[in-house]
Amino acid sequence: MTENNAILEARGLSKTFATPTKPVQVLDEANVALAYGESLSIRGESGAGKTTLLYLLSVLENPDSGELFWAGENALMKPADWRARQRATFMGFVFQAYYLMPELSAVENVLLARRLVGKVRKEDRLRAEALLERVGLADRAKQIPSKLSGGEKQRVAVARALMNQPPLILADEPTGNLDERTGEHIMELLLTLCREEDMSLILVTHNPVFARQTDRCLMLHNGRFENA
Amino acid sequence: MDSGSKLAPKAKRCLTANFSAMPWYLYLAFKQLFPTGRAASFFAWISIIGVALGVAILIVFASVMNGLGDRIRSKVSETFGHAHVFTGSIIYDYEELLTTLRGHPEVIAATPYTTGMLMMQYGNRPAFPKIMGLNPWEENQVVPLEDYIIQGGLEEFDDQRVVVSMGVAQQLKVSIGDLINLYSPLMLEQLKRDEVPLPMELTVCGIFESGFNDVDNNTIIVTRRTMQELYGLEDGIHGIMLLIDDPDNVFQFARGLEQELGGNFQTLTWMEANENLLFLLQFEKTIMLFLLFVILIIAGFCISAILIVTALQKTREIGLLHAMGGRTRQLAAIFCLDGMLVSMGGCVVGTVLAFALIGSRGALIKGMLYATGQGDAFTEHYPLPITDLPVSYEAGDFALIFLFCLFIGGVAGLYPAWRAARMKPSDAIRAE
Ligand SMILES: Nc1ncnc2c1ncn2[C@@H]1O[C@H](COP(=O)(O)OP(=O)(O)OP(=O)(O)O)[C@@H](O)[C@H]1O
Ligand SMILES: [Mg+2]
Repeated sequence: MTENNAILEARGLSKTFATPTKPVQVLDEANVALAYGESLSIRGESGAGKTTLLYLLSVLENPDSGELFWAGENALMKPADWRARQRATFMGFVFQAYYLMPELSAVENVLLARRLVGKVRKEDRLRAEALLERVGLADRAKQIPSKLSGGEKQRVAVARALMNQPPLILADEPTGNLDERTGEHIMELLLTLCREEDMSLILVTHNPVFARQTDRCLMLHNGRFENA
Repeated sequence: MDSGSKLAPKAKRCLTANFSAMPWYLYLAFKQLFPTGRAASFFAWISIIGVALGVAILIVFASVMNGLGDRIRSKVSETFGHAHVFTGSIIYDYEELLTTLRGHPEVIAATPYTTGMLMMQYGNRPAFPKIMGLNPWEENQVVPLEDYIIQGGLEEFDDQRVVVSMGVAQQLKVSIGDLINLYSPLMLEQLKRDEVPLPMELTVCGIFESGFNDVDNNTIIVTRRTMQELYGLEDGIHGIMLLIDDPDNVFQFARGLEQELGGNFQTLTWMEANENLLFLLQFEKTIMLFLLFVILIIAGFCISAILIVTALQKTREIGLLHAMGGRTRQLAAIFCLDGMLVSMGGCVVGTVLAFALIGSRGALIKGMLYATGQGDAFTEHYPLPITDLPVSYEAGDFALIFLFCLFIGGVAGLYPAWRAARMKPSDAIRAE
């Protein structure tokens, strides 16, 4: 059983979408495994199924077939509530479009991750503030998202993904909507923080420069992984 | 004082602590209405105002209906007494009965009365008022006639004089000192025997207004002796009217009294005598409340519509919350809670608004009635003077209104909640 030394493992993952014209097979028996503390980048053409893969790995989307293990647990066999709980504690998401709750301030957005797990304690507040400081937004903590720039919003989103110290971060083109310099900065932040906090990372990106900074690179092509 | 300065941070800590312990979906429902950095969202304002208007109207209406009802009830029992004791025929030796009744532990006052209908004439204008024989100078009065006098007085009231109600005075255009003629049913008997009856001539010495239109429209009062003469009662009476300790339990009292007195004594309580009117009052309130609840239902539809739009706008946030570990039913709860929070806000604002409206009711009613040109008609036909609208609050009304409002709020949130719950997480996140 190899799943015991992998934080995440997918075997024979398949997904086909029904479209009005013809079915689109996005994943075709794809296999992937990630070790604890490892960082993995996934590249692929637009429409190759990278985003779909992340949704399947977190079971936000159900695969047609295949097996999925989260820290050795067969995620697809568990009840939905258990998976919801794991999404809050076991993994953190960073999306391309920065997705913050518009009615909450930056620090409240970061703390929201903790609220979904339980009571907000004093030390949680301190951690949220420390994380915002770490991403360079200490002075904008009370700002609401509509008053933050794109780069600032994404930095809040990164802080939120790290809030509960999940062992796994899933990032879907976190720099896709940002200019090159801001993107580089965010990416550097994400990679450093993951290393600092000992987190595994799956990074979907178009940018080969960013991809090269991870421990391993995969290409998604025709529904399967190829080593890049 | 230093205890105050110590309390402030403590209270603040308490508030933050509660906020931290709040379930996240309640927290988000609350934040959706009152976002950080703004007083309240547009949605919150619109819906809270909508609900508040409905709640205010319901509270005002229920309280005014209670007030009017209470006043009518109190006037009814004031002019009728709480119960009448009678046999159905003339009671001749009533002294002993009267002593027994006055000695009864629950009886506050007992007065003999005679009553009937007759024809009355002043100039060439006739009227057919109800007549009562009362001796208001005696102890133990049930009807506070003295208090009702608006012209003249009772000082000179005797067997040659009559006190007429406001309505009779207006109808016949009589004033103090005028002579009126009374024709009793006894005189019909005389006519049948081919005798020529002579009307009884009495002087008007007072005009009264009780505040209860049934009485004020068509009643005259003479002394017991005059009434006995008019009706040929010798020294008999028709019955005895009573005031008792506990008018709400008058039925029990009456049943007990009938058993105690035995014989063919009967009782009639003020509630039975005015059953129709009292029923109508209650019925009117129930029906109107029922109709007015429709206002809250309409407010519920508005909340629902706005929440549906919100749920659609928030598609991506819903997806995000899925990714952050929110469960479907918790996400749905946000929208139900939103509806209920709006309802609660509406109840609070509506109650404040209702008290404000009730506080300034005099001016409002005048303005409204005269603006629609119905002021005079209303004052004329309503069974009570409308000059100062009475109000009375009942906890039951408030509880009913608040509960219904909360219920509507929750129901209003159900459909948007279901819409939110039905969204596939991945589709929600992908939504533009
Ligand atoms: N719910 C859906 N229904 C039908 N087709 C879908 C659905 N979701 C995704 N697809 C299709 O699946 C394919 C893969 O989409 P996906 O978003 O995973 O691509 P991607 O690799 O992330 O592309 P990009 O680099 O442009 O973000 C696309 O062809 C897309 O049209
Ligand atoms: Mg994508």
